[in-house]
Amino acid sequence: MMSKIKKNKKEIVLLAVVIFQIFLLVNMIAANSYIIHKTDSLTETKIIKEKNKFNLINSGLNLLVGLLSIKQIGIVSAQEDWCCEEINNATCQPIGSEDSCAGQTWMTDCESTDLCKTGTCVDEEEGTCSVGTKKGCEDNWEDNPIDEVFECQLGCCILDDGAKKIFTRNIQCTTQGGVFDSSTSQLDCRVYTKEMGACVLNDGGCQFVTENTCATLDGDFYLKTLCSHPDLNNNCAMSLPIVEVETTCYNDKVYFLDNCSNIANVYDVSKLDDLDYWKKVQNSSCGDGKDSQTCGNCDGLTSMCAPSSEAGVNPDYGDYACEDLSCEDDYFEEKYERPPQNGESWCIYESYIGESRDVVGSEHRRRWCDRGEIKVEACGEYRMQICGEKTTGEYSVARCRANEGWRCFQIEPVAYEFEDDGEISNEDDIGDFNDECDSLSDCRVQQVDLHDEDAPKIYADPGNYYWHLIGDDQAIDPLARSKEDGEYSNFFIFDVCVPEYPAGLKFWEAEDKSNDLCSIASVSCPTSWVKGVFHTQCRGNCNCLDQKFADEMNEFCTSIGDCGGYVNTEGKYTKNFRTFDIDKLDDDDAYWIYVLMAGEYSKWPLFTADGDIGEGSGEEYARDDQIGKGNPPKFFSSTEQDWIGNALDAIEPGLDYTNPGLAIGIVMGGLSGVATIVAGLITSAVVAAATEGLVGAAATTAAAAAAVSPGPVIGWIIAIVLIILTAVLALIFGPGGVGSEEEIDVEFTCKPWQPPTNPDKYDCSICDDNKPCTEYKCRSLGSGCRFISKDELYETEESICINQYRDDSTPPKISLNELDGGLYSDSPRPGGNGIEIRNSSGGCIQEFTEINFSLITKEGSNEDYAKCVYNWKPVAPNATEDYTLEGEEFKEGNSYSVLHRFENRLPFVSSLDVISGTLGERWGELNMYVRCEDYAGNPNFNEYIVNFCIKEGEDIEHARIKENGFSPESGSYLEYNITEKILTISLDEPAECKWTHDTDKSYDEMETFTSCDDYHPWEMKSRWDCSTTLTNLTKPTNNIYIKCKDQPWVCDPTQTGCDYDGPWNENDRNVNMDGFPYTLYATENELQIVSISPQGEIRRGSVPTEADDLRVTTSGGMANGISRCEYDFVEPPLGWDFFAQEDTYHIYPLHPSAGNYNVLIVCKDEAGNKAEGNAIFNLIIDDLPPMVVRAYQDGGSLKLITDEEAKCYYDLNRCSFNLENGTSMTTAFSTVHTTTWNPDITYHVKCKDVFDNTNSDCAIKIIPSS
Amino acid sequence: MKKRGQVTIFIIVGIILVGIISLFFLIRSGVIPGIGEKPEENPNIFLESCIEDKVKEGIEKISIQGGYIENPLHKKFKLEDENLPVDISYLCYNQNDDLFCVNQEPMLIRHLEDEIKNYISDDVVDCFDKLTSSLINRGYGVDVNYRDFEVELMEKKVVIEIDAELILTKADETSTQEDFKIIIPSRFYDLALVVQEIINKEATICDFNNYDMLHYPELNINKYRTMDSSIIYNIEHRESGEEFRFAVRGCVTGPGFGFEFS
Repeated sequence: MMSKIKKNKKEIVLLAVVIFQIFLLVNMIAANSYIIHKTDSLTETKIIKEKNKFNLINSGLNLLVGLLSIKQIGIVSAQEDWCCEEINNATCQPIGSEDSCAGQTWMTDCESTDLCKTGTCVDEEEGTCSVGTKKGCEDNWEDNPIDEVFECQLGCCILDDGAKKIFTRNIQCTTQGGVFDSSTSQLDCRVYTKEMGACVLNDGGCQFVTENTCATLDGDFYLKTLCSHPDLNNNCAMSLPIVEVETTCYNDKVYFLDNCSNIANVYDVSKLDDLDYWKKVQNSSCGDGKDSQTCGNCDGLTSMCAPSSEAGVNPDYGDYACEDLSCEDDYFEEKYERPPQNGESWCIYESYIGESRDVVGSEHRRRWCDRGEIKVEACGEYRMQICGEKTTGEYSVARCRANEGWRCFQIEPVAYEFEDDGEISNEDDIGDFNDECDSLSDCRVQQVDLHDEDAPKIYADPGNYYWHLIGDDQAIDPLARSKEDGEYSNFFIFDVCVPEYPAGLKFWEAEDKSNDLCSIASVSCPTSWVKGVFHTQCRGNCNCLDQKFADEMNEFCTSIGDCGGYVNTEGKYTKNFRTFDIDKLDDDDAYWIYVLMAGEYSKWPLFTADGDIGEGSGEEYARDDQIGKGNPPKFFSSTEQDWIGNALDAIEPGLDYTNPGLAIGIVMGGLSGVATIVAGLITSAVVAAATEGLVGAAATTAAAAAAVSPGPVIGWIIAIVLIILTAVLALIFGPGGVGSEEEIDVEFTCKPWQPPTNPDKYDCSICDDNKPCTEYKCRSLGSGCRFISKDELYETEESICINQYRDDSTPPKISLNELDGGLYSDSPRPGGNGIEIRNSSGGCIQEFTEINFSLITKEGSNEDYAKCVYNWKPVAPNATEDYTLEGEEFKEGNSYSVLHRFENRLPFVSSLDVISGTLGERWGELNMYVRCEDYAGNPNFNEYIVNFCIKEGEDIEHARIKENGFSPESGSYLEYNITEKILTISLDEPAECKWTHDTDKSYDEMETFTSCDDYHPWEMKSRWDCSTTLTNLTKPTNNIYIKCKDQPWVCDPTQTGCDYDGPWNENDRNVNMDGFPYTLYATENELQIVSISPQGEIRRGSVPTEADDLRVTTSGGMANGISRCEYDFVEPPLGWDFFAQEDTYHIYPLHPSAGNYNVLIVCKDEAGNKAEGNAIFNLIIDDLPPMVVRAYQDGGSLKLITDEEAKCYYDLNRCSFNLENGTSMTTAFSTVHTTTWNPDITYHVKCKDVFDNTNSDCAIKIIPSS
Repeated sequence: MKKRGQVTIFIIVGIILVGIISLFFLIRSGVIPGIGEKPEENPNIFLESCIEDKVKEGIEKISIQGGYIENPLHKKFKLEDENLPVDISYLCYNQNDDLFCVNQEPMLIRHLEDEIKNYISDDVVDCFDKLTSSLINRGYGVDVNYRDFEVELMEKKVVIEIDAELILTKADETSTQEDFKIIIPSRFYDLALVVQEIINKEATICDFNNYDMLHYPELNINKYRTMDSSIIYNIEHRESGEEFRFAVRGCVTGPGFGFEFS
């Protein structure tokens, strides 16, 4: 019994020891954890940091603190710091360093140098002004802007004493001897026809001219009267019969002509029978003549006089009508409910506009109506230029201007700050920010709102808070949970200024620039998690896990540029952002969070790194019905508006506004990207969990307990229970247990937009429908879309967008596309990679046959654009590093093409390297080695071989003259009295040719062509020329017959000088038995100038006239006088010009100054006949009023004699009277003037001459004496 | 007495008549050109017919290539109806982005005159040789002193002034002709003036738009934007069909607002 008791004591002691050890183990874990916790420096640091942030939070959230902690993005302009005199053949270019400059280099910008500063070049000799540098101008340079140089001012230049006006620069006006008027606008700088009238000539003729002109013609002038006025008794009248009435263009309108070809009134069919309409000058009353068959009242802007064929109108009379200059455009007409007028312009968009919603790949265009033709101008790519439009309703104007969205980034974002009661505390700052951003035309305010709007506002009583006390601090944590009501709130809102029209990016290039720009909208949001008894809860920034967070951030991301989840012009969406990017979470972890959140936030959708966004992908902005909707750009940017001011109401055509230069070179530093959100809101500490160690210790203890008491079951049960209890307590109360906190960063990464990658879901060719297709647009359609400029393509009108896989590393596959049908056959070449071409029966092809075939290049089953060349010998097979594409080009030349065409003659057998068979029946093989390189730069190192078999053969076809092979053409005219002519013919094979007038002559009797192209067997050409001089062309119709004998190399081998070694038989050479006909006509009559005027002495007044017409009549020549004439002032040398007409009657209005003239007239017709003549005249300008040279009494009359023909009038009282009010002393112009002698009156006499020169004062004042 | 007086009068009248006739021929030969003279005896006409085509050829080539026969600073471009691209010179250029273009040829008119001169210089000499040969063949003794020639662009024409002296001798008669002048109608100068104005606008405000084009109704002006944001201008005179084409590169803004990041 004692041993039993002793044994029991031992067991008890052991049990006590075990229990004590278990107790120690359990407490040691907790104690160690506590110690670790207290001594963790990082934790303390974090606490301190959070305390600081806490204070900041106390004074108001300041996001900028957090912003500045993230990377600084310095924005640098393209402005370079050096100036180079010449680089890459361009002068005065800014550069980044001096390394590559060919001339002088300055360590400053070009505008600060002497040589490369922009100024004005004034070339006094040529009379021109241009913007330029001193380098280009040398001694003609002025250091002033062009508009500030007096000689370079723009204005109206009055020439020929007002008869002609042009809008030009002062210096040019001076050079041309004109008078410069800077005050007249370009619109007003026009020649307005002075009032004219009928000038009845002595010979009974009449001309419709000005009065002064009429005086020079010595005719009688009738102001505003038409020559067709019946009372004038002249040869001119309205055109009769009416059906033969003619019209002409004058001052942009259509005018009637009388039967003397004088201008009458505006064409108006309703007035045709109105005799009064043919008497006096009248305003047009037929309304708008546009497209009218009966009215010629064109307004000069929307319609203009033009030949009926151009106007598209068949007038009832005459050959001219008002051409409608408006255009047709469905888009414009739908918008404005009318067609666009000449000069109007408007914007074309490709998606929803503005509000940062421009879709990827979209660009702005401008269309305008140019005299009936629609023209399109693409504003800059990548939306770097945008289109602004302005309209009054009656007229629309549009322009492409720079996108100033970059200015938005100059304004720092502002975060909303809240009082403790939740009210916004910095409303003024927010207001200022909004005002500043809204003041920029290309910017808008983007609000990023991540706050939990369902959370109520917190209370400001700190005593009610117990949660998240840092150490002993009693600081307020806005995220804190109220003790009483258990509620909390988050505040997270900021405004950022973003572009209204975000920038496009070269998203297909792996550059940091796109990533950096988009990263402005990348943020890291630390969330706080606290473990509860049954689940873990998010306690801080939990809204960063919300759908709303991703939505808001993505909207911000897409507003920066082509970033984030958005759509292209086809509405295809790609995501391009990441929402979870944390070390601790992977896909499983994401699910874990979901589970954890299940209790409160289970409504949130799960999304991983590659998940889908929720609603609002943006595809609606790409829909057709949204195109042009939204907020279109303003016509002027805010910057331009500041320069110009608000005086921008005039938008009529010819608007002359001053568009200031855009100072784009700005260096911006320190722009803070909005790349983080509130990081100071987390107050929980991170405590390392050691759960694993705890469980391990418990297992050891359990094993020890089992070793101590292996026998009693109760001992094992107790041990197991203790282990389990320890584990549970550790989990609940230990590190990582209930109440432990964890911080998880939720990162939103904004990435550059990328196009769809599934080739089945995009179509690159759509770009071609939207001309012009650009690389930006093409690339946006799909990842495999490639842009090929039209400059690189053969015979294409536009650039194209093709579907080419991004990783194209395979060379193009070459195969036969097409072969001249019926004549040839083809079969694969033995050994592969080539083809054999034979005749239709599979045999060799006769030598010198023209053969046409085309090859095609493909990439798989798709056509592949490539450049191809061929050689007649193999070129470096299997070449790799030294590979170059060299050889003869196909018809497509050096352009990329799918088809590669060969059109040429096969050589003669004698030119081949290897020939088999006997003479006359020889044959040989010829290989064409083809290499190609596709657009991606992949060459096929193994040549594609086209094999021909060529046989010696009988040439049974004679040579032919190619189409359009005569020069000059058959049916041409000879010059007058010319009996010889050089003729050149082009043949389709080498030959010798002869010609004759006589169709009966045999070949040997004919005249030989003096020269023909030599034949070289190695040459593969398709045209041979022969030339000679045809003689004896004396008949009115000279018919020539040409015969050609082919194979000129065939000659008698026995003869000296003959290199031919083949079988010789002259009869084997083919000759066309019927000569090729050729005709030349003789000009039977010499082209002559029948009459030229003016001649002799011409007098006119001081006022220039429009009717100093140079008139020339021609006859003879090849077309009975029809010719084109030009005139040249021989003396004085004033210039050369054309007559407008190609006719027998030529008129050109001259307005020379006074002096002697000798004008050389030269007329030519199409046959080269020429006639010359001169107009020799002396123009006298009489600008002096008449003088009374004698006054005397003759009987009962007072007689006055003037020094020239005049009309004199007198007044009784004064000299300052109007002639109309005076008493006439003459009925007609005369030198003698008579009136009744009256000694009681004083005669105040004034006179005017035929040129309207009138005495300003009295010509004479006569006081009769008794 | 009366008879003596009559004789005196006759003598005086005779002297006057001779003097007038002499004066007439003296003046006539220098002022009034002959009408209907044979071309080969009219060197000016011969030279004109010889050189005219070459000048027109040169003008056409220069005007399509932006004012140069050859220029390394060019842009390859082709219009819709052309098979192969043409090297079009940049007349206003800046290799950098965001900056105005720099006028590369501010003295454009003089430059064009030089280009034409270079193009036809050999042909002018050649034409003179041909003229000489032709005259010799026709029995003239010919003494030619060719020095130089100048090209002048003017409104609606191109003038070639040849500084040369040609002395012809035949049957003891000698005539001297010098300073030949060939006039070829062309709108080249008029187009070049407009080109200068377009460049002025591009170099100062980066734009020449359709409102500016409205001021030239006689011209059909088109703008084309290339892949690298160069602009090709094509100016066509509606009536004559003559064209002038040139390239501009300036005020180019790269994608992403051209931002560089530090």
